[in-house]
Amino acid sequence: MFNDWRLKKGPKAPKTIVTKQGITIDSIKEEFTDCDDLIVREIVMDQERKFHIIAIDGLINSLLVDQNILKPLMNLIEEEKNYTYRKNITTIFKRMEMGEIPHIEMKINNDRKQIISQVLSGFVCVLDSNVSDKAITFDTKGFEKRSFTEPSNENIVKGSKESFNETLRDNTALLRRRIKSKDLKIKEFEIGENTNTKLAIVYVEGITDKNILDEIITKVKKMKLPNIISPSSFEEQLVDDNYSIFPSVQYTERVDKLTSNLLEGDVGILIDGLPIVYTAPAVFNMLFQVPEDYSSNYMMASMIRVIRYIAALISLITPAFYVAVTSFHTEMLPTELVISIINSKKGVPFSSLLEVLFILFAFEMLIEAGARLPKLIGQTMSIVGGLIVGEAAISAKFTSPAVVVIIAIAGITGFLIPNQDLSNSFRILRFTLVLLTGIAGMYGLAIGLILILYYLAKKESFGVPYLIPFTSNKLRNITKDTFLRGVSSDNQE
Amino acid sequence: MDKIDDKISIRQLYIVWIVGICSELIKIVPKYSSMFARQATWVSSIISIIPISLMIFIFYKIMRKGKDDSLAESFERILGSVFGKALTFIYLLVTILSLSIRLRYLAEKCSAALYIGAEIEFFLISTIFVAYIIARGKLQYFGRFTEIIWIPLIIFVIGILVTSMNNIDIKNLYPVTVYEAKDVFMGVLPILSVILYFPLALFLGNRVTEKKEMLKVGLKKSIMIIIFSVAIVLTTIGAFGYGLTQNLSMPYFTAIKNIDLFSIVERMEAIGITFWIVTDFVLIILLTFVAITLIQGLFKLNSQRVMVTPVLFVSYIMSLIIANSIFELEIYSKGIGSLLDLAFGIVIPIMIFSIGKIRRKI
Repeated sequence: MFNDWRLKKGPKAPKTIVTKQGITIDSIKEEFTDCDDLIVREIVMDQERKFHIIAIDGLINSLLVDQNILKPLMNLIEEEKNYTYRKNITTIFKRMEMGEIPHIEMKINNDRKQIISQVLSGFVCVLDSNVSDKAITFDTKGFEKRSFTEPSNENIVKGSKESFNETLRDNTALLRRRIKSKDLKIKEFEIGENTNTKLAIVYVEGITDKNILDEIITKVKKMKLPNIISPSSFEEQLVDDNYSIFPSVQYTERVDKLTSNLLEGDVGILIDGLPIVYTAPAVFNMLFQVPEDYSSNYMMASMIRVIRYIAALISLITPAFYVAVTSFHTEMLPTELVISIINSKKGVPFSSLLEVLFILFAFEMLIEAGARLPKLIGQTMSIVGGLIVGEAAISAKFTSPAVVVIIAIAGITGFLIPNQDLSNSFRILRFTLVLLTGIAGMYGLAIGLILILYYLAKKESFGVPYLIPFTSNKLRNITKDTFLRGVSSDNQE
Repeated sequence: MDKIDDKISIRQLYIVWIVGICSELIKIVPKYSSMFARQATWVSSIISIIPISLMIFIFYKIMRKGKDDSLAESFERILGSVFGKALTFIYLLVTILSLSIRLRYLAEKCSAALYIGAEIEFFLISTIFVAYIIARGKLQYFGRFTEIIWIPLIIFVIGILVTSMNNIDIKNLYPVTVYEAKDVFMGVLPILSVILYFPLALFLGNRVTEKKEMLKVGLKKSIMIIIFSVAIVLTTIGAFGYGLTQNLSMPYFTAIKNIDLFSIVERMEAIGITFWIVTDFVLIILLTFVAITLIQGLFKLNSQRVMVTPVLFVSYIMSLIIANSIFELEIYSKGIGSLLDLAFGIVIPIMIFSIGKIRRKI
């Protein structure tokens, strides 16, 4: 379902060749060949004159259609029947065009493609057999959707518990409720050649950098995606450096986080069918911030932020550092620790490098298994894998306890990074650094860190340097809302 | 002059220079300055701010007129095209020589201190590989990269000083009397050899913004050199005394090794080694950028990037043939190297400044 190669390899579905011209019931039906969920309700005025109401079953609110579309239309037809002298002209359609069917969102369309797209989005289309060049559509969306629940991936103790769902309009409405300003702009686009998915770019005019906004709009317009079912395909086309392992966009399922990001000048991208919202640009510093920081005391929030940064560093370099000091620079360790490590390694036939790589792989496998399995089995799996197999591996002298402790520290500290994408990139880099230190010890570690740091210095997210504000070289900028949260009055310019 | 988009700020240029010379300061100040100034080396470090500030002022005066000019273009303006180009060419040779020496030093230090007996080619090639990647990128990326290192480096140097307070014996730093004045001034000379890298960095002047701030920012940043220098002196000479410091191969790292803060914080040399390698890399990459910029200016090339490979290749070959061992390298550094540093870092710029004044070109 998510693999492009399957689409390429499988037999191609024959494309419907539409032969019927104009906007008529036949041409529309031809477009929807083999679509059994298509509802076509025929209203006969007389032998020559018919009206058709077209909709997709399950996408519309039937009650709304009956009461607000069908009933007024019937009344109109009934009224017109009494004026027999004008029954062959298009008076009913004209009256509808003038708004005699009271409905908040009515559109007059002369583009068949657009009509089809609207019908597929939950609109009702009214066709007049006497009018073959246009149709009237009414927004009557009424499909089942998930209600707003608490965010599942971004837990919160103090603060709003609202999160997005999969319906674009609901999500934009949530945003409007938060930012009651005409400056909140919502620009909608359709992407995905097969799915025609709606996408909305949201921003606050006057705050957002116009260059960033234009760049995002241009990219969205240029996107050539068959579908937008998997977010990664969209992300990869949105960012400049799609081979980068560091995230260039952030995502959130929390309304308050998006609101705050928009008010700081970010651009939000909402996609119909996804309960997350992308925000751009994303810089390194932002990936360490969570809305909870602004809900708790500034001291506490600052302390936790500093812990996050330290944890990220520990997570990245601890396994590599262990390999370096045990394989190349044992003189760096206190004598007692060296003796302890040597004792724990007694009987283990592998080098520190292999041991660390082995346990790192095992750890990654456990994470993956835990994530894919059903929740209950996943928990059991973690216990069995982590405790029982781990203990058995140490007893069987496959690995030493020190390595298990080191990898556990690296793994746990990695989970402190709030952004999952960044945490994942650190997981990959851990392996790279371990391999480099396996070759050249501390020198390899230094080279690895230089290259990582240089890459981060080089990276930009929509023209914004990734390491801003750390590269601003003013202590106030560096400490302001980065490592330390600061009291709210300090955060204001 | 063609418009160049890839620019860094003058502040970033100073940071690149200071981070780059940090490992030079670690090498020079405790060993060579203490040969003259002995226990008063810390005073030499402090008063070196005067000549350093003076040199920054001279370079500011030399470059002030050409808003988008590099030092090479300022030379041409002051000396005329032929002499200016000839001097720039000599500076190019000095840059490549310095680059080769730095490469060899790093490799020898790694081989001697970290991996005893390891082949230096491994370190040379891996260093060149990293320099190649970074020098082919934009200067602004390198500027940002160095800015990131800047604050942790300050914290590290100050942190090491604070944590080694326990080991510092005040007797190793006193007495300092007026009779030591001459020695103190002589002790400034080795510190001044790091000035050489400043004019070399200024050859990137056409890729620097906010140049009118050059003097102000320079004076501020030169204080950091003094802080680094004094911190290094206190950590080393303060702990070992000048006699022992002169005989240690890497006194600063030995001092870091000795740090033991209530038996909790110890063995911090891993961080020291990482910083030491990083600062050496910064200097090597800076010199690579300078060399390719000078070649582009002299030979009117469209792109600098094409020169990265030849420059690094020549530096690699030179680094292999320049000396047979680290001892030869140290003898060279102490003798000809120091003289070259002082000549190209101080004497020639002062001459250019004088000529410029006489010819009213500055």
